[in-house]
Amino acid sequence: MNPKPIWRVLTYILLVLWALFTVVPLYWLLSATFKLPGEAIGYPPTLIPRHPTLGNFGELLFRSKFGFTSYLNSIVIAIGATLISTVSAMLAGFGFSRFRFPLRNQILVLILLMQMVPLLAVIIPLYRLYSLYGLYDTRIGLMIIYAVRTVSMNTWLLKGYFDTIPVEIEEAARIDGCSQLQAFFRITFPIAAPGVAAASIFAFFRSWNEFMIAMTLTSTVRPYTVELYRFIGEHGEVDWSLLGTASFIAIVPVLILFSFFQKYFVIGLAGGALKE
Amino acid sequence: MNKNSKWQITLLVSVFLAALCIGSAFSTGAQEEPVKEAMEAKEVTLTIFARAYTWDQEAPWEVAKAEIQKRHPETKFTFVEEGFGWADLRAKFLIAAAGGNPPDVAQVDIIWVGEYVEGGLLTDLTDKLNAWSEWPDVVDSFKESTKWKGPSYGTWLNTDVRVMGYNKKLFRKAGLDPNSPPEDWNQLYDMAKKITSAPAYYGYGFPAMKEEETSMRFFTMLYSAGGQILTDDLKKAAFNSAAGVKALAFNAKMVEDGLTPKSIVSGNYMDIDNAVFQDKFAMSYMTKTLGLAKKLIPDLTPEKFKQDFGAAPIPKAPGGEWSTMSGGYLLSVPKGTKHPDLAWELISIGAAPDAQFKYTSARGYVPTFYSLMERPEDYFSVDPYFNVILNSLPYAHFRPGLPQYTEISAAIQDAIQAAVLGQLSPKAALDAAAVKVNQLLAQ
Amino acid sequence: MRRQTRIIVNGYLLILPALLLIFLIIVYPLIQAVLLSLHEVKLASLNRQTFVGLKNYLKIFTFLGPGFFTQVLPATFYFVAGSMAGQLGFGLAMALLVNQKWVRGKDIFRAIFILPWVTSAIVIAISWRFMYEPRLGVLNHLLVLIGVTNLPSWLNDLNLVMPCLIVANVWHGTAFSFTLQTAGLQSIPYELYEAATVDGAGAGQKFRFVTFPLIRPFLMINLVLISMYTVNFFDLIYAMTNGGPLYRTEVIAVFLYHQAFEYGHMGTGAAVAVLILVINLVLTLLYMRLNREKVAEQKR
Repeated sequence: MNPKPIWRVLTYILLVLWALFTVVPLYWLLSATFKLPGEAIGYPPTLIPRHPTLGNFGELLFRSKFGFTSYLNSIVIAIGATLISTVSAMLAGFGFSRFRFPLRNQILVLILLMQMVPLLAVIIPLYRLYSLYGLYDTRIGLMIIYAVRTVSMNTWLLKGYFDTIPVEIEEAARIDGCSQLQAFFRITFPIAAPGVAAASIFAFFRSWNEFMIAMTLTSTVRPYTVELYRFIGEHGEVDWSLLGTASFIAIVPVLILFSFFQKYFVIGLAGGALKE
Repeated sequence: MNKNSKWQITLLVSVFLAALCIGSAFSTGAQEEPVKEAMEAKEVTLTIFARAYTWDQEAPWEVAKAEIQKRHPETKFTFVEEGFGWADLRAKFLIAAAGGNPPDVAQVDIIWVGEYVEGGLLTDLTDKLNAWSEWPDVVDSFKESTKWKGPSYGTWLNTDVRVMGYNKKLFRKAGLDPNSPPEDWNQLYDMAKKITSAPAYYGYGFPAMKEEETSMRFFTMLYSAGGQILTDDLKKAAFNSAAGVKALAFNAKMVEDGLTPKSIVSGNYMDIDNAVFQDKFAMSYMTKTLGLAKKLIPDLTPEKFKQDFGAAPIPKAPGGEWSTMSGGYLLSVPKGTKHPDLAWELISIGAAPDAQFKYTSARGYVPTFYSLMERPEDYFSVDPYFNVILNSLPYAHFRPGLPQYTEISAAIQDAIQAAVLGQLSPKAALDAAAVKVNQLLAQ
Repeated sequence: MRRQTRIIVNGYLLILPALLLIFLIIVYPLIQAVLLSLHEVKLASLNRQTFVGLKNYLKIFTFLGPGFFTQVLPATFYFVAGSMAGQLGFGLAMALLVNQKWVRGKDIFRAIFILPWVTSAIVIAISWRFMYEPRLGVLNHLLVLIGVTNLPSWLNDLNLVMPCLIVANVWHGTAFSFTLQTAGLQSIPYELYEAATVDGAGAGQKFRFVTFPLIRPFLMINLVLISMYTVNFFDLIYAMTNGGPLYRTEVIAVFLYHQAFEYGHMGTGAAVAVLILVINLVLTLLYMRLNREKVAEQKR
């Protein structure tokens, strides 16, 4: 079925427009990565760096207090949080979807309701709790909180996914001799892969970019977002070129990673459930 | 089978990554074991909460850190160095203290002392201060400001005053004498009018955003017109007097007549100060002149600075007094730190005259020691307008250090914003704020 | 009977990890927060708590500067409604557009669209604030180049400030809806579309009868989540306008922050938090009721 050419052109135009809208606000900041510090804070704002330079990378990573550690922290914490969140959500989603037990629906709604709690409200009791149990200023401490931020939504998402997968498929596999667990991994999991991918992506990015909690609950194991705040420092004294560089490093590799990750699951899906 | 093995690989990779994470997850940040202060500690971690810019130069911290390590060679010091913006310096400190994790040394804005002490958050340093060799050198009036209801809670890192920074280039452009800045509000108005060429540049800029500096600069004018912030017994608002209305009306008029852009109601006050050195405003009140300019104009020498920019006392109200506002910071020891004595020792070095000189001259701040006031030549070499600052000091007023001050100031900032945006008349705005403030003070 | 028990036990075991996390990190501190809302507590002296019953709530409702019903709630709903409409609308639209079978460069588009989600709120706030900066900013610079003389002051203009924030938030959050809807669209087996074509269905009918019903659960979740997320939204607004000017953008989360952390009234802040929870609850119930009605309608 081939749509009319005008619709094709229109689609591409709309997509490109949105892409432009997405990129333009960040362009200026990211272009500061390659500008000399003087030009970066100058007026009027320039689109193309007049004297492109790679010096900011060196300045940021080796000479300033920023360094590599903050990115490392961010990565470790984000991956940890993603794993905790996704695995818990998968288990819970599967449980809610396939099993009937008392209070099932009520607990489900309750989990969703918990997403409604603003974190600003619980930050002080949480701070005390953490100090008490030695979780203050630890990576695992942050991982846990970040995981909780997304576990409700992920549970719902994955439950939804599992709901759309007919139980018959699993039962067919079990008749063929698989245990329930095997049925899950071999049959259900691959089909739910896009859902798991989405859940992981959300969990990762919600952790990668978080700032407020990290700032409050850490002193030394700081993720990059808090370090970024240092550049904003004094009211208005924004060090644009270093800020741009730090943002660049934070955004671009993750973006590339995401593109790779996403392609994988599209392939997986194309070869997967549609076969039946 | 090919797809299956793909998933198995994914699973293995995930497990591997999980193991990696959990492994490194249990490596926590730098946390030291609590040590009894009585014994000579082998390893000590000191956490310092300060403004971010205090870490940018040698003093006070680098000097203090090096010296304290020298004095205790057998102890290995680790420093956790926290730098914050103004609002966060207080918020993060309060949160840390609330969570049972106060820093060992805290930089405290003089205006927060009341709140901190009422909350039981600061250690009484009266005895240590009296025993300090440098204490007699602290200017007496500043000694008083370290006290809250009796005891003293810290010593001064620096103070500051507001002066008027102005752009001589814009003055010359408008045909005005760059060495005769305005001395009162009427002259300020006339000169600003001559200079303004919107939207390229304006004659006068002042902050009207929700920030403390908005109140501060308003207060300079309030006092000049003969008013004051609160009544002497600190029980009622006094800023909505005729003097206050006069001051606010002047600023509102500046905006109304186009001599100041409306954009001053948002952003940061530093944008406005910087704008003077970026040729966007001709005049504004500020605490730092050369210090700011140096960051914006690379390779700026004091001579070039004197040629292009100037500093003068804040113009007084017609028929009024010279006045300015003074703020500043103390260095204090919070309650509940594990090393109160070492913390105090660090402070005593960082806030000593030598360190203070290095710090204040590098940043264009004002010292609090007699010995430093008596050698202004040292400051002149760094800041050609230091005499303006020195001469303004006798006219400096302080804000009341009540615990409710933050909220009081917010109410006043609201009034200023409302008047500047034309939502309320200056009198109505200030009266509304006064109602709120009286409510706060009644608690 | 044993099998039944085993099912129940397994069910509970499966949901245990998620429940445990939620209880520890949210439920327990939340209970503390609710208790806190009934006391007068200062941030500077958390241990001194005086029981005041519902006085904090009363204080919020009668607050001046900003007025709760006159400024905070309207600002919040304005912001939430605008953001939700934008994010859901554009998210779904872009997901539908990109997901069409014949579109080339799907991956590139998807990667670009997710860019705002990958960026930290601080970076976004700074970038957009700079764009909106009336004197030094990019937007006005461009307008000057086109020849516009009466430059709007964007974030300082009482009428423009909220739309500006909404645009920035839509920019920031659409990626979330986009990804969610894409996942939903991808869960629809292609055969259904083929079957519909065979039955003679046009594009519009395909959407109504194939796509929409199947992505409906995703839309619902999307709606509920964005609603909650936006009502709680703080980072971006705080960094861009701090609730100003004149409380035009003082949404409820920013109001909470000011009360609790700037003025130090922890009890009042906790009360605001409870109110946020109530608002979220009411909205969610509303959506669910609407959804149930719509489903019932369709069944007729």
